[in-house]
Amino acid sequence: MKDSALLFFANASEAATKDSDMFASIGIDWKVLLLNIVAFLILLWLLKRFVYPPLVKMLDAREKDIESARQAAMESEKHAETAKAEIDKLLKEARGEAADIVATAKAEATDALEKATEKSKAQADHMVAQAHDTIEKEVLAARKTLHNETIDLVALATEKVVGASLTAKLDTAVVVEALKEAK
Amino acid sequence: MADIAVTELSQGLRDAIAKLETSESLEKVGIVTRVGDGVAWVHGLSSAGYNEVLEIETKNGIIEAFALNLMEDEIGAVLLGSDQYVAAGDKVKLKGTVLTVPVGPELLGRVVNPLGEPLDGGPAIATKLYNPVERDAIGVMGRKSVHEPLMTGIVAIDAMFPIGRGQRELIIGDRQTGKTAIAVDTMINQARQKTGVVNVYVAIGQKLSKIARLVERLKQEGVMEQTIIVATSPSDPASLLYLAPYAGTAMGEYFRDNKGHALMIYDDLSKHAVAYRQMSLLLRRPPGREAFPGDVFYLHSRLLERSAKLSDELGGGSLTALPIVETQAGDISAYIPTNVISITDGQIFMETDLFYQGIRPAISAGLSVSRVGGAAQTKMVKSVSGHLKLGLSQFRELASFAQFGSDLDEATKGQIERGQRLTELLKQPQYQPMSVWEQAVSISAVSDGLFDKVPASKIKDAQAALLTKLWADRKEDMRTLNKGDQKMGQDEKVASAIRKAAESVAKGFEG
Amino acid sequence: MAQKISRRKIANYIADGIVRGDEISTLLNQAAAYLIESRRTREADLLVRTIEDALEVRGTTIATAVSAHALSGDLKQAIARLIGAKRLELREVVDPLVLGGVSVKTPSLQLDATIKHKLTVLREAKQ
Repeated sequence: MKDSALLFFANASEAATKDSDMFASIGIDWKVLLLNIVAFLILLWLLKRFVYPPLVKMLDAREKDIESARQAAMESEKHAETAKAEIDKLLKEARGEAADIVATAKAEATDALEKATEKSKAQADHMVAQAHDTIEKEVLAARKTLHNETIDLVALATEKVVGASLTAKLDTAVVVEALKEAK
Repeated sequence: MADIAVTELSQGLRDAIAKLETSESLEKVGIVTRVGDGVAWVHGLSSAGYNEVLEIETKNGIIEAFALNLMEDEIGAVLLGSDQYVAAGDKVKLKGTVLTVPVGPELLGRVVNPLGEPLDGGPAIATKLYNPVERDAIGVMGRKSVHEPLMTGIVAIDAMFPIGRGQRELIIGDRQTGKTAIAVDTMINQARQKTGVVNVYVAIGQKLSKIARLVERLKQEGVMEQTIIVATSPSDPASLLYLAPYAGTAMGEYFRDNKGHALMIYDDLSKHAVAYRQMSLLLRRPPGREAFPGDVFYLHSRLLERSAKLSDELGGGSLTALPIVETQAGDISAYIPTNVISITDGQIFMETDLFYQGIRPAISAGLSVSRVGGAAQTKMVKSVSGHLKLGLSQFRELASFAQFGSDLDEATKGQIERGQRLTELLKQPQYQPMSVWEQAVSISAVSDGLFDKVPASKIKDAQAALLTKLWADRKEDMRTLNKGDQKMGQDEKVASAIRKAAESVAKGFEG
Repeated sequence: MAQKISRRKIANYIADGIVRGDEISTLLNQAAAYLIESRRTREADLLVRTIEDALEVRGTTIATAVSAHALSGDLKQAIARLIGAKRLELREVVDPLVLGGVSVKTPSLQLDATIKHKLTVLREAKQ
């Protein structure tokens, strides 16, 4: 084809000289024009073969990137929405638990108060009982002292009286009685 | 404020004067020739009997003593009080009886000395009955073999060395190994499980502060109402330390002879033997091995033979004894320990090494034994304890290999891990006795492999979680198990419920 | 060194001698000599008591009676009957401090029916 193209141009350049008058008058050189067209076609072919594919590839890649970025953006927006929903749920739960804790704390506080009141009441009762005990013990001790002192006095009195007034005759009677009863 | 009633006062005086009208009689009289170190030597009273009570008239009132040495020329009488007021020349009379102590339910909840005098500041003990301190043991025909369990609440003991009512089980070990703790936990368990067993704790030469702490703890746990404490301190005369276990046994025998059940704890018999040695040496009796008198075996044998299970004709009551003996440096072949081991129906040996390794109660599974064994175990615990003993004995054999963890085959490793888990399971804190169902469930969970994925260090937590869960979810079934008369696994529904609960608990603790 | 002879054996020997009618002073000298030789002189009082015990077993009772006034013959016989001795050697002591009544002491028995004793008993009724 190249050969035929070249032959054509060669013939053309010959023919051109014949028609040169017509076109020379309007300033168009057939030979140069054809050469330019051929050169242009060669350039086109070179461009199509070597330049356009990488260029197109690059453009495609860029388009893909943009597309994927767009997808990613959509996804992260979706995630953000889900996360927000989760957070809302957790917050709700926490609020519920907090309310529980407060209620429990209130109940325990009332309990503790009741227990403290009972304890102090028990302590007061215990103190009263102890006081009663002490009084009873004192009364008992007083009774004992009185009892003992009376016995001492009786013994002393007996010693004095008997020592003075027991005659030998009475004594003999006492001894006889004692010996009779002794076993 | 109560008035002092004069009529009451005069009545007391009239009574005192009325006593004067009773005539005197001709009495046998002796005289103290020498006194010292708690022993009074008396001349006269040739008709005094062995162990008879003598009354010595001192300036400070009458002090009692009992005649232990009846010799040709004189009587050696051991004083039951301080010898401070007894002087040579004091008159001595015969009381006419052997030594007696008050016995009866009026003693429950009280702390007394071996003569029955209160030590807890409460009113004097007024019982209807006084029983002799020394009594013969029941004969052969009056006894029945031990067949009822006495639950101590301690898993290691109830599973492997069960104690029955009427048995004597010795608790032996060095100082500070937890011997008294076992006895106290047993007492607490009687109250927790409402067994109706009366506890009599005899403290022989124990520090008064320790006894006070014990009383506090028993009151806290609500055990004091069914406990009698007979207390002697190291500063009491040796005669009181000598009498304490016999007096305590007389108090326990009251319940045994009246169709009841009593538990005697003698803490401890080593101090008892030392007090008896002191008395014998002062009475100039010839010393034998380790300076103990020749009858030191009889001292303990006649005491422990009184613990028995009575036959049905005599009421079916029982008296169980847990004597405690302290060894020196783990030497159980010394004189007193070997004596008491040969008298009792088994021993629980406490090891210092185990105690310091953190295994508490520090019971040595290899050296402890119960000669009554399965006859005194509830069916429930018996059905699970076989695997326990087997697992532990296999673990003991392989224990030394536990250090070479990676070089062993799977089966051995499994046995070692099972043994470690069982050892962890048997650890128990003080004052927390476990009931029948708790013990059975815990042991079966580990020995049936339900806790195999739980690491040994988390076994106690898993056990607590399992028991809480079962008590919360299946209380009635657990109550039925607690009666103890079924085998574990007899009721399929309950068994599967326990399995499920154990599996779910085990998941939560997987390591 | 010879084995220690018990007080009871010495007392029995002396009591037998007394009952036979041997010289009491000889017997007592023998006893004293033994006590000195065996360095047991501190037991002299106890030995005397044991001798009295031994004599009582052999029928002779040595008793001490203390009263506020002297005892009549009847009273002495009553005492002898009370003690139930075959032969009674009575030692009488008059002590006004006992106030009244009598106290009789033999080697193994004692009766204290004096008023002083009754007052002591009364004092013991103190709480």
